[in-house]
Amino acid sequence: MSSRSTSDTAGKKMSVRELAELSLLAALMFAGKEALSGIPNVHPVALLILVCTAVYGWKALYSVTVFVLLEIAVYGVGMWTLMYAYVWPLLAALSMPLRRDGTRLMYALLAAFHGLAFGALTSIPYVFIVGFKAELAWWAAGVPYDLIHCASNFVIVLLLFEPLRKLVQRLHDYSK
Amino acid sequence: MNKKKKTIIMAAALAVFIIAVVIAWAVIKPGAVQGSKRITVEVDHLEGKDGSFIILTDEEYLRGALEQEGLVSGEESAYGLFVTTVDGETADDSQEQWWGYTVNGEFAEYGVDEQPINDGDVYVFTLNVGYSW
Repeated sequence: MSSRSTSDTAGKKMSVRELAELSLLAALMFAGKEALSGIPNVHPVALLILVCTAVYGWKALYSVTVFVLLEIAVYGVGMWTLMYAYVWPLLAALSMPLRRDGTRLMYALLAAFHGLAFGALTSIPYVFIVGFKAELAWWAAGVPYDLIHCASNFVIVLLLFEPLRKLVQRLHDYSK
Repeated sequence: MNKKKKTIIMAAALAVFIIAVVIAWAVIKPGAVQGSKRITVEVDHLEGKDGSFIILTDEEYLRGALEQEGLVSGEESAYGLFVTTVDGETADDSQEQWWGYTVNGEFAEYGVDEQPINDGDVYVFTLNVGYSW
């Protein structure tokens, strides 16, 4: 089940059409996260970032940036939004090597890894504020939620990555 | 490297990571203590006189001790009780007000459902204003 290598538009100038597509994906990330905010750590953000990167390559960082700015606009500037500025682009960057021959299982494993590491990644700034010991306690408090994040990411990406990637790819190809 | 090999390596790395996280968590997380405890709860109100309460309890977690005295109420959420009212004062969402608390002077890492209590603990609840800093 190999992902078709997409025509790599990375590096080239972004068209207005692409800008619209990438903005739509950013809006979907935001809407998807808000829609499922009642269930802790079950959301399609990782899925959408992976699909976006699979189809658009590095240009996915545009969607991720817009998504992070939307979060900051709604929740204010604070630790909880600023760490998004590196947590989500990191996922896009990590998935770049999978573009060529990544299977949906590989993508699901990467998403699971990222979900489980989420608490540890977001707790990094706390080391500088409250110290390492308190940061560890903060991280430990969130482990059950990281485990949920890990499992939900795995299932969501395993089931929805392929159909969604095909759909977005078709939308993208349609514009050429 | 072929796909199968890559997948196996990724799955193995994930398995090791899960095990490491669970072990680290089991070591670090605080455990609940059984038996009777005496704790102090102070409430820093925005309006009105601040409160101070001494609670004798057999409860293992903070929520139980607070509810035993009828000190808190709020909304049930997937993360446990989301405290909106402490000692009669309700946080006004529209004013960006929220209740936070410290445990023996340190900012709480847990919600009231998961905060284990120890004999002699001092909890200070403060009504804060503003989400950003």
